[in-house]
Amino acid sequence: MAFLEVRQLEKSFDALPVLRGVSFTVERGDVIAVIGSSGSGKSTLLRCLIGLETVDSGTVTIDGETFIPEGQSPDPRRRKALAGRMGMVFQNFNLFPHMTVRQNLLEPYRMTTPGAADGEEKCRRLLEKVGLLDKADVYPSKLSGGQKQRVAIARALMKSPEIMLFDEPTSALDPLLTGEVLSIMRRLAEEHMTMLVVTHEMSFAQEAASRVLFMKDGCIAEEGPPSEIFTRPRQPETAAFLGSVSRR
Amino acid sequence: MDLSYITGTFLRVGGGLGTTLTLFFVTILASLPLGFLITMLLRSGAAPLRWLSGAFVYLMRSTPLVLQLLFIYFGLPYLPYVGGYFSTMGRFTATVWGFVLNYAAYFAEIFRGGLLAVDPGQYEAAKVLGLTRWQTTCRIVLPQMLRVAMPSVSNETITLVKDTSLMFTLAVPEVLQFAKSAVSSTGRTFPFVVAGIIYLGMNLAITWLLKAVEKRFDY
Repeated sequence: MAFLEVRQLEKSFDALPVLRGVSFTVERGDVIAVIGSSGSGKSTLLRCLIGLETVDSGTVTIDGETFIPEGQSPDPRRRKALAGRMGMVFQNFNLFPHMTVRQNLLEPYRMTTPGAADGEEKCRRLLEKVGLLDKADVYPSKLSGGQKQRVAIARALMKSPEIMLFDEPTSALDPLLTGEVLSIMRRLAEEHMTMLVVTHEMSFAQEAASRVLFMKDGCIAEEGPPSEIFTRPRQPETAAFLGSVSRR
Repeated sequence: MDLSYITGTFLRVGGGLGTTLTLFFVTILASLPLGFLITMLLRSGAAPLRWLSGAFVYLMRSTPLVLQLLFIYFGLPYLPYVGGYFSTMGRFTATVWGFVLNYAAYFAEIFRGGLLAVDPGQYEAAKVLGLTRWQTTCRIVLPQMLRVAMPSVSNETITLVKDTSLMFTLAVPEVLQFAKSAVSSTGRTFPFVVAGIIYLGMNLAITWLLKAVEKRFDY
């Protein structure tokens, strides 16, 4: 059985179908790039996996444990367990503005794992990893977009998740600042973190992903290793999409 | 006008300061949390709660505070069946009820505005990090809401200092009451000036205190 199994996920926003039977599996250490044009359901897919959206039908299983049974959204206890195994990084960072960088990492960790004594040490190590140890006592408003996103990644890593979800992590960034975020994601990939990355950064998908999912109209239109998807796509939609992004 | 007259007037008018300050502090301490509770009800998923709290806020904000005070002290005891429960209520108690309910309604609206300023992404981040609803409200949302609401809360607090003089309506002996009777009995204007100076002094201290609180929310 695969590490993460998604079966026949369906989701509509008022009568508008956004996910129309999405199924795929992820193995431990896989880096999945989810690509496709806006409105194809990429972000909704991630948001359903971590319980930010309720699903209409389908199942999600992690490591043999069913988190979203047939069409049932996880109850609060299950959702908490889910949050412990998955980390999520948002397009708009969503750092807590009233907390310093250090508090952004430590406070949620202490709230969810009371009694854990390793918080300080973990926080220091992760800030070092994302290269922001010197910004530990600074408020997010004093950081650049790239730095904010690096803090957000470190915050998501605090509870040692087994799967990291990235929802367009560089889309809100100045093109000059995407590099520092992508390089941290590459490092995570090299450390065999299981990752699902919704992205418009085709170079990242091509170089760092082990598999690419191309979504169109709420379905996975094509999937495969980046070498195949980018050089000889089988579906005409995939070719058309790749053509349109490379011309930009 | 010699020094002993000045200090004498200050002592006489200041005799009402205890009542004035008690009303101020009780109102602030009770109406801030009550106001936040009403904000939660205004945003509740249950329509009857939303409707009731909305009606309460409308009622409190759209009728004069003086009318509310008169209604509570002089009006409630005449109500059929339940009036008897209110007939023993003291003047000061009636004033406190009026002030707390009235200010809670204003604070509820101020907090509601503050909550609208909190980015929905904050709730999502809290959720994926596994925080409970209670933790999200107290540790993530409240501090950010207060930052936005603080200037309006300060404004309302300063208004409250002056509004304490509405106790005059129910003849509760407070600063203004003492000043008025001093003016009547001595035939001099000065006690009113003293009353003004006392209000100015209280608001000077409160403005300074509120600035310090606002600074704490600076990030």
